[in-house]
Amino acid sequence: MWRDAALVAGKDLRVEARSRVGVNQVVPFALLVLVLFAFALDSDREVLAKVGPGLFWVAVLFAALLGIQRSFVIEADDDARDALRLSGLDGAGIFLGKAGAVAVQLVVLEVVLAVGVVVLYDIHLRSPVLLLLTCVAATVGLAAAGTVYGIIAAGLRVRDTLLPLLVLPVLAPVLLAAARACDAALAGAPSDGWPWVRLLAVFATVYVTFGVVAFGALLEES
Amino acid sequence: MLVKTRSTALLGWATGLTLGLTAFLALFVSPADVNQKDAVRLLYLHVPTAWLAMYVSFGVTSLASALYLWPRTRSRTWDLVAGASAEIGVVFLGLTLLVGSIWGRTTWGVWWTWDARLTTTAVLFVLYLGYLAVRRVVADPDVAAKRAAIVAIAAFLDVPIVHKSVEWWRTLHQPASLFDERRLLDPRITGVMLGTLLLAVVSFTLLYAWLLVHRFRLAWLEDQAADRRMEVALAERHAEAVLADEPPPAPAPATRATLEPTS
Amino acid sequence: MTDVAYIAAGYGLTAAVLGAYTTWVITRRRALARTLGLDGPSKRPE
Repeated sequence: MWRDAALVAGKDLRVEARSRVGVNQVVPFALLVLVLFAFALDSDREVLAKVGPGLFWVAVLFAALLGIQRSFVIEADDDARDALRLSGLDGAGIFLGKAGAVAVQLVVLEVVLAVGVVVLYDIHLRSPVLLLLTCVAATVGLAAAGTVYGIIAAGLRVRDTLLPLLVLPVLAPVLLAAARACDAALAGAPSDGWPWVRLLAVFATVYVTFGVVAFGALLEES
Repeated sequence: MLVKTRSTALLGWATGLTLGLTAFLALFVSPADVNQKDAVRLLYLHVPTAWLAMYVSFGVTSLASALYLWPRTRSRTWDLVAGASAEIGVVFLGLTLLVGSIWGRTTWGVWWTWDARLTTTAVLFVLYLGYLAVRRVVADPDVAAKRAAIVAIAAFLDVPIVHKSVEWWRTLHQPASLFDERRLLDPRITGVMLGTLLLAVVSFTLLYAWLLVHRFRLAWLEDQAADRRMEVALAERHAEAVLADEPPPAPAPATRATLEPTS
Repeated sequence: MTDVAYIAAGYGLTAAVLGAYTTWVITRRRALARTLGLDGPSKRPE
């Protein structure tokens, strides 16, 4: 299973490296979202610093949507999905590979966005351990849940508009928990943040497990 | 399964009667609340629809979805039940939000507030709208059914997480607000108010059951209609293919006669 | 709006929504049953 996962993840990441869609389109999009928020909120320094964590995670969420859709678009060409099914790779492995690739891309995005938020919103980073663990747990959850819903939507024809409707309510608690955890970290009260990280860990565990169990069956059906 | 029309009609009458009685009690007999005054009468609608939608309706959908996915119990029936129950649940939940909003306007003065329960309910509403959207996508019925069932389970897994997170969100840094809905639904309410509330729950449960029967039948008929359309389409396609494959007419007998040696 | 008006609105909306939904379900079922010439599920459909 792990070997299959590494194979699929490697493939997806190589596709990304060659096409550079993530770097050329998704990251600029997320940065643009940050800038637009500043316009919308009248670039009031204090307000931006206060809502910074929330805006950061909203931008990550939207970028994750794009990343997930992309993850399945690349399978749509040339019957790649059929090839994937016939390849004999373990369904769970394919899931972990695809989710893993999405997670890696999200991490890169988060690093860039973190720099953006520090620079554009004048935020001072504190409690780095809490921030780091929040990002890890949230990213895994986003990637796992997103990949599950991605394959569900991918098999149906109206994929593009259906995916956000399906997956955003599910990801709402991730947004909530991650934003609150970062709030706590930046306010210098990390003890308030750890319960949120635990929730993120639970979410990630639930959806990784669900994906491992269900992905094989879902792939067969598309 | 849900066959007998007579027992369904009986259920329907029971539903209508209990609902009518509930409305009468709620509006005219039960007293106004000490704190909320007459606004409490809206709760006799709001609470039952909320409970029915969240626990019964979506519970049935999740259970039916699981039964559909489990190979040993797989049957189209479960898929139809899941869909029917979810649709009724969405209607009830929508009503919950509507009536709750009106109630909030009366008691809190606002149409909406980011209270833990309301927020969770709103997210739940959208989650199941998504489920219904998946069911509506045109695809092979078995594929669609399987995916819908998985979406139902995934949504069901998310609900406690949403609930917990929103609850923490609203209580960790804010003390329980004065307008905590739970405080107003003090379990120590007695007498007519409790009786009315219980009757309301019973009558809405009957309504749910009655609607489920009818909605299931409708779903079953729609299924049959789709099958029939498929059969018609297949038959037409087959007929076209047969016509195209027809061999050219056999050689005229005259030819053979001319080849026959004359005796 | 007075309290009574709100309550009336609440009950009215509920009745309207439930009534409309019920009517829709039953009407559509009858229409389909007529088109297909069926009476409803007579055995567990597969």
